[in-house]
Amino acid sequence: MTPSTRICASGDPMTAPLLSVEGLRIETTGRKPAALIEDVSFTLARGETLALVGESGAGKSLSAMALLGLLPADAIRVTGGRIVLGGEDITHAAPRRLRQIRGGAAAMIFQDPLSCLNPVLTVGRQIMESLKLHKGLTGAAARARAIELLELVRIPEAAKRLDEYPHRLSGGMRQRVMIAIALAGEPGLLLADEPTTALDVTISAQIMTLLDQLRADIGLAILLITHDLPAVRMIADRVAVMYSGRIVETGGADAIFAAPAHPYTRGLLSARPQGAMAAGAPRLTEIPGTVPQPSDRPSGCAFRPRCPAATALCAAERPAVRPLGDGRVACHHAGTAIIQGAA
Amino acid sequence: MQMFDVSDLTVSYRARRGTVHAVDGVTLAIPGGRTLGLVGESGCGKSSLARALTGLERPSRGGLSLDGHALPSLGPRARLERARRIQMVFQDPMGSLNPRSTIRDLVEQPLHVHGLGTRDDRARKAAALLDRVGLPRAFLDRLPHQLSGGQRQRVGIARALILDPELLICDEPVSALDVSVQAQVLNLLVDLQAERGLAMLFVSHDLDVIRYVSHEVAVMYLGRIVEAGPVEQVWRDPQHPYTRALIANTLSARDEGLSPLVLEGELPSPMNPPSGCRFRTRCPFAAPFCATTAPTDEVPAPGRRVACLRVGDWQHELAAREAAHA
Repeated sequence: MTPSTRICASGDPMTAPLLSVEGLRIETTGRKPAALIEDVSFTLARGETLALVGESGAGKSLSAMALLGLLPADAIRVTGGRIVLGGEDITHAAPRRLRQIRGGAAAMIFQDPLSCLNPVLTVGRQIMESLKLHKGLTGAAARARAIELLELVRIPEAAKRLDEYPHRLSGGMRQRVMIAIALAGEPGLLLADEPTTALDVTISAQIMTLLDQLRADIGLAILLITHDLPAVRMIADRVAVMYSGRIVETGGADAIFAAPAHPYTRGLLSARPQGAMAAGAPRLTEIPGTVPQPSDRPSGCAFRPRCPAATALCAAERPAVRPLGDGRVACHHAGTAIIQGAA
Repeated sequence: MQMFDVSDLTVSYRARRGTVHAVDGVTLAIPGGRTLGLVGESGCGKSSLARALTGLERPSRGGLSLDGHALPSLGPRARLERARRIQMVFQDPMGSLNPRSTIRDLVEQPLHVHGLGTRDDRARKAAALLDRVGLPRAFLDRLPHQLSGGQRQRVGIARALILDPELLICDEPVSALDVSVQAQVLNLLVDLQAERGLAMLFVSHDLDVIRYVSHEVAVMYLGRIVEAGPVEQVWRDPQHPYTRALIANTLSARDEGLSPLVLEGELPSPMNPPSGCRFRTRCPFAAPFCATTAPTDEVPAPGRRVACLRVGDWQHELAAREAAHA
């Protein structure tokens, strides 16, 4: 049984997902609040990788920040929905509790490890800081555990690396160190926000392989936020596609890549070059126009001004998320002849 | 047909502890109307190579010739002459466009520098080119920051084309753009090349993009070309393990049934490249003699070349490993 087919029963810790997001809504504060994220729902089980994909401004990173209570409270806040992590509703958890969760039950890694690491502290100090905070480990015990963590992320000569400063490490090694720090609190959930965007192809493949091994070996649940489709293809079990603040399609990775149902997903995949033009590969499909600003999203379906299959219904009514095949999709015409004809 | 030839090009930088050969004896040919895709990771020397071809960097050996005539690279006059023939599109249009110049000034500037045309000619030419790259004429009076990333890259392309160059060097031109915008810019570049019969050197780390736009590809590792040939031949039957590892990491690879090949380690420092074959420290198939003998170019098929001592053998070894794994 693959994680994606697992049915989420009520409350049973063995079958309930580790993370469940229901109807999440995020708005700007101020006199004229604008909704940035609307009705975002997904679940993530232990030992599973869910990729959240979409272009800049889709709301991918914002959703992840909200999960860890990292939104700037004076400007943006969660105004609806629930975030349940390990059975606990953390939607409006107190700052003190959120600090325990961050790096404890859930940890996060980012695109640019150099700007997240402290340049004047050794790698070891920074891992041990997290071990002290979340595991109460100090002294020789912390040092021994830090070495174990560096070995876990496959850093050669771990004991020697402990006393290095971040600038001495390559981009790939720094990202491994970030992962080691993230794992110090033994989290069940790892949020990886564009972890390979700044890395070279072969190094990116190494980091993806490492994340996938950690998922399998320690049962980590990984929420991979990225626009790097080859990376998604490599390790994701399931994919959720975001457009203009909403999830428009969710499904198994193989199914989505083989037969995307939403016109936006179809557009995104056929905009990616496949094959050689010199050998007759077709012209790339352009998605006309640009992503709308949150303050002026169109009525009905937000994608309709750019959609080749849009009809009057799409302007009049917002499509609800509905099951289709093994996945879910928010499109009036998904699975019908209208979509097939427009492609 | 025009033919640009890069022969034995070497670009060296003097560092505190010795000399770094960022580009080490590279030979390539780029015919008019064709695209040569150059692939490699950061630090492999592909940007140094691109800069040397545009005259932004002075080669320490070798150089560029057009139809057999060497293009001089010394002196301001030679630089100007070269700039008329060879132009470059950069990765980050925000960093390569003066933020305080209007789009009109930016696109017309190369004509000014070269003292070409009257004021009216220049204005006409700029407006026509703006039409061609798909930007409304109203943009002429705007500033770069008022445009989106894709629109700025169109300005960068118009600026590169206004002198009617013969060779266009594109250095990661779509890497900073979102997928749907990438498609727009790639389609535009492909159309412009066909219309103008441009020779194009396309530098990218994105293998799917390289495969799509190129007629020929060259794979670069630590300053040297390790494999080159017609794009589909290289993709179907890579002769160098490094090429094989790069291709295995693409979106189409999995659909085409290619097994993953993840390389160990990272790019060694170009200050101190490994002895023998430079790739051997990361090569899953390296033999002891790879450390002592430097590979020379072999020609496995017409139009192709590869620099690997174990060519033929490594493919068997990979097949055997995969069979054992399955």
